[in-house]
Amino acid sequence: MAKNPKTPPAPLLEWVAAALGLAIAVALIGIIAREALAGRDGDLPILAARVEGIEAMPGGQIVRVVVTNDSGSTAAAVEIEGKAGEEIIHASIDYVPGHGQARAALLFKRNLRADDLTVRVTGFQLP
Amino acid sequence: LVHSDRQYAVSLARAVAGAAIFSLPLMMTMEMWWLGFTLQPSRLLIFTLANFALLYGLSHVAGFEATQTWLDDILDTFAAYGVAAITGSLILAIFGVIEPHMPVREIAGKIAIQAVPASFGAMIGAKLLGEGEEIEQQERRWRESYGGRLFLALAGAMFLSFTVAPTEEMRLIAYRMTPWHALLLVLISILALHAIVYFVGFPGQKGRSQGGHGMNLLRQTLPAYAVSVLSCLYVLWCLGMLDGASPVVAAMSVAVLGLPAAIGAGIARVVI
Repeated sequence: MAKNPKTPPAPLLEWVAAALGLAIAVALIGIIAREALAGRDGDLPILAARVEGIEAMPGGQIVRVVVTNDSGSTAAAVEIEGKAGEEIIHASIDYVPGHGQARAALLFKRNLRADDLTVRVTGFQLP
Repeated sequence: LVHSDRQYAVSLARAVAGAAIFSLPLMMTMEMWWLGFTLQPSRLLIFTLANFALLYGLSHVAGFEATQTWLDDILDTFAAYGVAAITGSLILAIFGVIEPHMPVREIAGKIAIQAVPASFGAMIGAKLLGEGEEIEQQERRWRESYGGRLFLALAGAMFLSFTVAPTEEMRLIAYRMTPWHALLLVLISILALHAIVYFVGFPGQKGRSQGGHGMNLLRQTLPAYAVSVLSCLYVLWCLGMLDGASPVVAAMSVAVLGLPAAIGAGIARVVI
């Protein structure tokens, strides 16, 4: 539309709102662009599971597991396996975001000793 | 005409309402949360940047306040984006979808993907609240040009297809259908679009349409359907819904999403 000399100037609030919007846009675009430019689009997730704590509950013990992802890529449908003696327990996590973490719990029937317990990630889906 | 801070604040409030009304269904869709961190960053970037062109166009034909100059449209584009990002962050935070312990990239991704539909909603906030009349009068010249009508059809198509596009159901429906179902669906979409625009009036056009069916089908309905299909392709690609799909499955997904898109294009004048 042509500039009209009679057009009143934009109110101050309009400039403030636009500046705030621009700042937010630059921040969001900056964070995403940095990731995009790092060229990590096709990287594999790097997952590690570790025991966070063991608590007693009726009928057994509950092992809290945290899975961390050291890569920028997200892993989906992450399968976790916990092993204590003969007992093997599985659990799955929907997503472990890139550079993020997710938590799960494994329920064991037997009494656990910390040195006997291992947890690991057995597989995942590439989204 | 808006020329005081007070009036602009009222317009901004409409924008907030529009952002919330339009994007709440998507804020409550888990696929949208996941897309925030599963989508390739390069694609999220394209989605975000292209959105600014769409917002500028929306501000030109409608917007949350009447605009006179290109500078006004640019200011409103960023204001709508800011309103959308802030509204989106607050709602996602209340839902517990974003939390302080999450990585910055995950939070930014979740907000950025929601900000696209939310800013669309912010731009049409006035219309959604039934207060678009005065703004439309100001922007009428552009709304009634052929290009303006096609743009309105595009915006209308996005209006109705955006909220269902990222769901798993899009893929499921495409899998369930045979190619014959898809062909029939395309035909129904075109007929529905033609019927709506014939009786309600073509996008951007006042009142019912004049002229023969054949001419209108060629000049108005088919171009509007083409624009709807392109918008479906664009949204589905941006959301990663076409990844790994064969051309047939991709075409069927577009046919499925094309139904709401075509109806949206038909009612564009009522909602944008």
